[in-house]
Amino acid sequence: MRLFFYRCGLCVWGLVGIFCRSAAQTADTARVHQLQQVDVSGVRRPSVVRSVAPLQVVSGAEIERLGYQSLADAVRRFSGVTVKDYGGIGGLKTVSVRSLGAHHTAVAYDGIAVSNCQAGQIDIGRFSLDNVSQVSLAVGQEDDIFQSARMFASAGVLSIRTQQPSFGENRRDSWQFRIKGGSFGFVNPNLRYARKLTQRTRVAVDGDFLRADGAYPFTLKNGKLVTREKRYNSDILSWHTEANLYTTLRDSSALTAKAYYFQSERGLPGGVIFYNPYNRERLWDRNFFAQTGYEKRFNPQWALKGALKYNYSWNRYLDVNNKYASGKQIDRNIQQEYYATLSGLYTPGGRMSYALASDFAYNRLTNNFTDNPHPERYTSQTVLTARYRHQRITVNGVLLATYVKEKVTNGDCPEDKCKLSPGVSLSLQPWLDRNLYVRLFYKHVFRVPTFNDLYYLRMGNRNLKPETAVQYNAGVTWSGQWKGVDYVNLTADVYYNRVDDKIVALPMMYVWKMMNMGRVDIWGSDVKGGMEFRVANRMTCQVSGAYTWQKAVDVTDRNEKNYKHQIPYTPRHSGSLSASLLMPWVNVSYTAVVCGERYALPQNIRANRIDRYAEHTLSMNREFERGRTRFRLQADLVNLTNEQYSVIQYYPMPGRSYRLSASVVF
Amino acid sequence: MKSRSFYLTLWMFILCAFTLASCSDDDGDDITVEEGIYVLNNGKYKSNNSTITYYDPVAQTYDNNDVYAAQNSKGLGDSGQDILCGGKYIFLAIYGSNRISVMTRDFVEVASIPLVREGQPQSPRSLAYADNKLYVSLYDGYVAKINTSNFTVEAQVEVGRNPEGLAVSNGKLFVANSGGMDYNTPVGYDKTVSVINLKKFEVEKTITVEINPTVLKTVDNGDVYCISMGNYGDVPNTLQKINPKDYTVTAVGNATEMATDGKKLYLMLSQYDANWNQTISYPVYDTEKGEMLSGEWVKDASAIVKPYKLSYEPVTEYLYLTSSDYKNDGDVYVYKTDGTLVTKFGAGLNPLKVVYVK
Repeated sequence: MRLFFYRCGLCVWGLVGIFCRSAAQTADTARVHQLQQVDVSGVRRPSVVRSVAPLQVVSGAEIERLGYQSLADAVRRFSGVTVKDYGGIGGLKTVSVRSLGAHHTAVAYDGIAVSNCQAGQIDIGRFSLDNVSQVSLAVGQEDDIFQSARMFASAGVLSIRTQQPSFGENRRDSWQFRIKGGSFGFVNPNLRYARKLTQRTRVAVDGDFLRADGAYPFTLKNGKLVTREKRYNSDILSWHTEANLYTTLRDSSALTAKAYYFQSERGLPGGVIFYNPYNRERLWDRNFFAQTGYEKRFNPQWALKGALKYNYSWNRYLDVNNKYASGKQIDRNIQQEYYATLSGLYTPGGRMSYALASDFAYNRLTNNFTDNPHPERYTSQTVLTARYRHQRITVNGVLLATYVKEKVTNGDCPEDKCKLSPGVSLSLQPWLDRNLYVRLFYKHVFRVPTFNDLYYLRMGNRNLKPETAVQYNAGVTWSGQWKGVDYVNLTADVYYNRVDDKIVALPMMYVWKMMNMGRVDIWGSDVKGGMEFRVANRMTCQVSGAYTWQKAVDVTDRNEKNYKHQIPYTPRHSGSLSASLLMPWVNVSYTAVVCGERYALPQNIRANRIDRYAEHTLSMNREFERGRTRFRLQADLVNLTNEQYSVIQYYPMPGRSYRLSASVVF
Repeated sequence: MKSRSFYLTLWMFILCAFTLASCSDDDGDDITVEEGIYVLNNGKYKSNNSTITYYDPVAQTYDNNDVYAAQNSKGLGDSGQDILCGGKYIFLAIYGSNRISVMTRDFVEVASIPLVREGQPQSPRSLAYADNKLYVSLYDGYVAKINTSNFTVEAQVEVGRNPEGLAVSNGKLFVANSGGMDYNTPVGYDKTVSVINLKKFEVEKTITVEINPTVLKTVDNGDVYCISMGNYGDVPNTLQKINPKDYTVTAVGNATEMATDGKKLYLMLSQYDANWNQTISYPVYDTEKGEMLSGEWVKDASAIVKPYKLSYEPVTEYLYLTSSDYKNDGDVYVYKTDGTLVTKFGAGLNPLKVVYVK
């Protein structure tokens, strides 16, 4: 048995669980992890091989080493994922898992799902990478059954975990300062301070600031007319700060608390319009939330955890144009959420464990539109999960009950929504002496119409039903050693998804109306592999790759010209590759993202086709120590072939750019 | 190292996976521009995909390769909104790209006129041609007069908010002021038609109509018909007659689209029930008798899927009813004025208007 460690150092006990075969037999991901008098520098890394549902994990250290520029940049390298990136540092970035649409992906920040009842999709562009220790994406259902009900309600969960503070020997506090800078006026300093208040209590405070002009050059093709243009109105200025408290009480229960604040101002460059460069749209955002979590293990059979959250988000959109009566349009939106969750885990011993979780959320939206109905939503979600685990077999069963009630100040109130959604997953290890697993899952999910879907002036439709999605997945995973390779893992999954009653905007000659009209059939396959081997003494190479094939076709109406055509922005083929060479003096990484042809509109005709692209990035870093102080220097060369491409049509991405960063930890 | 072959195999595997086979078959063939029907396709807003489709009314064949791109090696731009032939030229108003394209009769562009005021795009909507001048409604509340020999903007006159349709009658230019951009603000829709005296190029009169007027048509007896769209909610659409001399307004029925051969108004009326099921009817209004005729002008209305816009074309003397679902390329149904279907042909995305080019 050989363990491998990432040079940049994640906490060890996570890795033990993954690769150690004997541990694999007994480890239970549903167990409660007691935080004892140990300083934990990272979070437990879940096993991607033993997971009953497809799971992909990237650590903060890997993100740094591989030179990923943003959270979206890290996520787009996962297999089975489509990140819609509108370009630039401030551009909107949303994640869709297996072509189900961004509304079916939950984004969890330190264990609590972030919500956006107005638009339904979460912009992952706003999350800072500075204090991230791990990013994971679970398709279907995460392994852990001891979670809030909300975490079971989506087709995929993108989970962001922040760093927990660690302290040197006999130290009570730690400092980290990092500054990044690069092309297009990008400057991003970050300061982190952590202090051990008592033996059991630690606090950490983070702050970062980010600015960029974003005025990057790009090549515009208009027929045979090719011009060099610059992306204007793409600037961003943002602040992010958060404070975290971690404490272990006398009875070994754990209490955490977080306060988070983010604000930004950015230009919205919009799509490139031929012959008309004018654009003066801007967006201001402010987001505050506070959350606290408590977890207690009473005895080996019973455990309980709960969390509370309050969220306030405000935004203001401005468009300056004389076509409005006042010369400008200003939209202001305020969303608030109160959220509470409580879950219990019962492990009677032996093969079964059960969990019951109940969540309650209250959401409201106010804005400055005329006839705004000030919608309020009460959501109750309860989930019952059961797990059977015996030797080489694991079976999880999930049943989620959701009840949604709304209130409006004018107009008809939508009907209450009440739905049961089941899911089953199975993992089987056919041979005891081989680290090979077969996995299957089925899951039913739905999404409630957003406030925009229901109430947006003229377009909203209060009769909308939830949009449903069914997922089926079968896969094989394997890890082990092979010839001279220290460690290899391979996962391959095939899947079929179906979306029914898809919520789409339908034209009614003069008015667009949201309707439950679409139906999508999705077939796909994700293949992912990674390996690590020693090239020479003190020189290690890590390679990983992912490939996705997807056939996601619109099967709404046989008589439409796009019947059985691939849905927009979904490539048939896509993939990513990364390779790192870890050496004593310097670490070098190369990464690539490849994406095949896609269509910007539903009809798969030449006029709608978007070219394929490949983006390559090279990154180098060096770490060294002087006494108690650790230094780290990094240089990234992004898009080194200067590929001119766009993810969303007419939203060009930056060409070749560089980024430098330096950090000091003491 | 004996494992080298393994790495090699793995690398090959990964590289194979990334080799995305595809070939691009660009370059539309050059075409010779023939006499016939040309359809302006609006495209999707902000997608730079407005195009022109050719239809041969004699052979009843069509070519969906963009005529503009074939002749000019570039795209029209975003949202072609109106097209007309005047003098030696074809004029095309392109809303999103904020320009008027001036083309010879074989679609070769000779001028591209940007429309800018206070450093902002004015966004052209509709065109009218009278006495060798081109008139354009501009969404920031102006109408421009364009010289058709040197292609410059001679003058601009302020009208109401977000002017849409234009119509000429009795030496006057009628302008429908929709106010559509303020549908969700307390200001609300506009409800006026501005009358511009073409000799002085000044607004002579502002007529009040139902809210949100968009379409204007002049018939043979000089009357101007105006469709007000209402607010797509509790205020319904209205067809109104404007007397060009005393500017009196008379409501004559309901309609959402119209085309005219000078005598009759061929109408479309789109209605919804409480569950947003759409029903579309095709009434006819006789402008000489001054009454709605019984029955519909289309013989088999059920054959039309997702109707969109309607044009009457005087050379072929046919009505061209376009269809669109706003996401796929649309079709054009060709009708005789008695409502019999001549043929149906494919066009581009959101086919908006039809012109005959000689």
